[in-house]
Amino acid sequence: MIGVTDAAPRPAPADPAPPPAWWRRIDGSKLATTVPIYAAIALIWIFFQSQTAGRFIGARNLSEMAQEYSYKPLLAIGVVFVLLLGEIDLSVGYLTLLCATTVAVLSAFAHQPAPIAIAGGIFVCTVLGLAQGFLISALRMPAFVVTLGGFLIFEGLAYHILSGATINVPDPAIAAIGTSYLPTLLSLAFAILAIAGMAFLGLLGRRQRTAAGLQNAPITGFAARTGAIGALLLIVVTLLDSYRGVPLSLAVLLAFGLVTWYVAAKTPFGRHVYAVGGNVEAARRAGINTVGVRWVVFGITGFFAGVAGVMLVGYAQAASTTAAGPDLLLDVISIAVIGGVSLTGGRGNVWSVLLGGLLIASLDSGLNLMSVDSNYVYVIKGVILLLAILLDVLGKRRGAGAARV
Amino acid sequence: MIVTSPMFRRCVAAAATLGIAATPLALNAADNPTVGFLMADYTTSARWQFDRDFFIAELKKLDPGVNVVVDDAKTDQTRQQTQAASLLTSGAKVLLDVPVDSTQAAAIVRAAHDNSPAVPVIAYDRLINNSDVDAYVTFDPVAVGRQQAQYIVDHLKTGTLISIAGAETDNNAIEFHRGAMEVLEPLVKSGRYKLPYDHYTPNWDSNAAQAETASELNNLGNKIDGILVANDGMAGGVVAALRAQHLDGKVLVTGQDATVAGLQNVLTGEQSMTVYKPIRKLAEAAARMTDAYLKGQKPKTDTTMKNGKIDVPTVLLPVVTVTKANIKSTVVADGFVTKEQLCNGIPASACSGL
Repeated sequence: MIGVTDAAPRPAPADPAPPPAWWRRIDGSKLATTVPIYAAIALIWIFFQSQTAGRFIGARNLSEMAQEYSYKPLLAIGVVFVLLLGEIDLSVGYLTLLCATTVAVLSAFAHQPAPIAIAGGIFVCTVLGLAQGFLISALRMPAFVVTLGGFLIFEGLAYHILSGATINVPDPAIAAIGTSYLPTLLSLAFAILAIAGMAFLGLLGRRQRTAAGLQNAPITGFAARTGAIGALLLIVVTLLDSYRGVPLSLAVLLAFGLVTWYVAAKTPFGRHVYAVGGNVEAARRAGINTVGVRWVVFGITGFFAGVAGVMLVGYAQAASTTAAGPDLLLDVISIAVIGGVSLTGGRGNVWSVLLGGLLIASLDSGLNLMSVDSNYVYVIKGVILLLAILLDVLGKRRGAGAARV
Repeated sequence: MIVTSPMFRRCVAAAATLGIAATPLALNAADNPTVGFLMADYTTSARWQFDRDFFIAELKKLDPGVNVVVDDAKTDQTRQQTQAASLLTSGAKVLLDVPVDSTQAAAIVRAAHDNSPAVPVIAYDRLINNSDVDAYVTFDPVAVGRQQAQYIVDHLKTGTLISIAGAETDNNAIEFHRGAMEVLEPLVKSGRYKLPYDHYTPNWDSNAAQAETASELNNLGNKIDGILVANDGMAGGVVAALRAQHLDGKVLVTGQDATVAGLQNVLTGEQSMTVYKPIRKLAEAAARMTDAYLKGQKPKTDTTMKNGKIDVPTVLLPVVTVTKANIKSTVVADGFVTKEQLCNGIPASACSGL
């Protein structure tokens, strides 16, 4: 009954009290993407911790979780670049399998030393990624179709090489990638170095802003954030050290995460990726080599598929047809989307993707530890993915509304 | 002669539909009968090449003039149906079918029986459900599980077991599991064994098997004495999880299929046993059945299997437990794997007995 409001106008609501200054400085859109992930991870951890007699947040389980699942977020940060362009790469699952197969063949059949087997696998995948990128960027074929073709071709090649069988990879140097640990002192040193680096870079950025005449956020917020992340890092490292140390695969993931975060956020190339993904025409008119950017991005994804394949072989000490495929592709895209990467391009960051990876890995690991039937794992992952997309859609709608004002 | 060109068969089929009977295949049909072998997935598993070669060799011995056409459905049941139709059109006398989809394959049986004259269909390795399929030849799936469990019973007095079964969508996985539980369940009830974990694994996924084993080792404080694993692929994942706890070789691990990777783990002592299915025996039994049909007789079968519609006359072939002790006299002697394949990449000491 719309007319009623006209007949009996309600008193105008009192102006809400202006929010305090600290509240206004918080970036609402950033909160909308990261807070739900932190909250979901916290809830999941509390739930599993209570259901597994405290074994879930045990050093052993966290350590195994890192070894079992690090390759997924690693592949996801490779896929983030493609998603930032507003494109998709359907081939990454089988490309990872093809790399794993290449490494296995080079190591077990051709008896090549580990560095050559590893480099060979990564090289093959990078070249195949670049080849797909060429078709997509230079020949302007749709990425969906090109990578669907890649999906089928890589599946066929990997299955042909494996012939339905498993190849054992006994080389201890390759197994070490998936199963060894950093020495405890070294990991502690790395953690302290990382915290110092973070503080240094932050302070440097602030000085540059001041020099450029820009305003800085108050130093207290920066110090609190650095302190919190640093404390968390030290707790995790100490916890993992109480078992066998920080798993090498986790260190590899974090190292690649750091490098890609830097490339995406701090380099001209990274800004070009965001620009092309946001509006390709605007980017082209701004003088960005859009063809080159798109080409390189698919090469990067291929490279990451290669590294993920190496980690997979290291963990399983074998390559088999069930090791990677469509399930991996779906997990990786879920990780990216849960991490707040927009499938329409231009929005997302590496750090949130690592959180998305942590969330998916926590689910897999916790449900395993609870001995839950694997069929339910799919359902639960699906529900969480839908929730993540819902947040994405809501966030965008609010953003669009704000832009119109 | 193996006619493998699909183009050629399509031409033959097209010609036959048009009523042009004077194709070479149709002409020879009377004295040189054609037998069609429909494979489900020829490329992703190395074993089917053995099935093909052993089958053709044995059938040629029994019927020297026979003409065997082998088709690969590449995991597409609809493609297999088309291939069956082509074979029927070109005058095949007997069809052998490894169905991709055990239920949808009933359409092939119907088409073969509606053909004039009706063509008998032998289900090879996998049963065709809800159909009047004429015969079935397979390894005894229940015996596979029984032998895996029996190995544990023979080598472990008492202790904690976990079970990592195959994909629940695969009827064979359910049969393997049934056979194993026939042996183990009474002993779990009597308290000889504890079985705190018993789950199916989607897609027979070796990574999942590895993660599950790691979690259960954690849950049970590494106190696991035997792991009933349905096949070698998953056993590889289980062994990798045991290695991480330095328990490899100290826990009984079963397997199946006698794959190269599985046999290597048996040789290094990390996997205790695998179940070998002598494919030559399966292929030869199928060839004898085919020969009977070609001669207008009913093949000899030893039992029947229910497929949801009828009791299918069935030949069940025994399976063989392979351990380090008999690798040489079984899989290597049969030419199923070579010594070179097995010794490639494992320590020479593990290989010395071969």
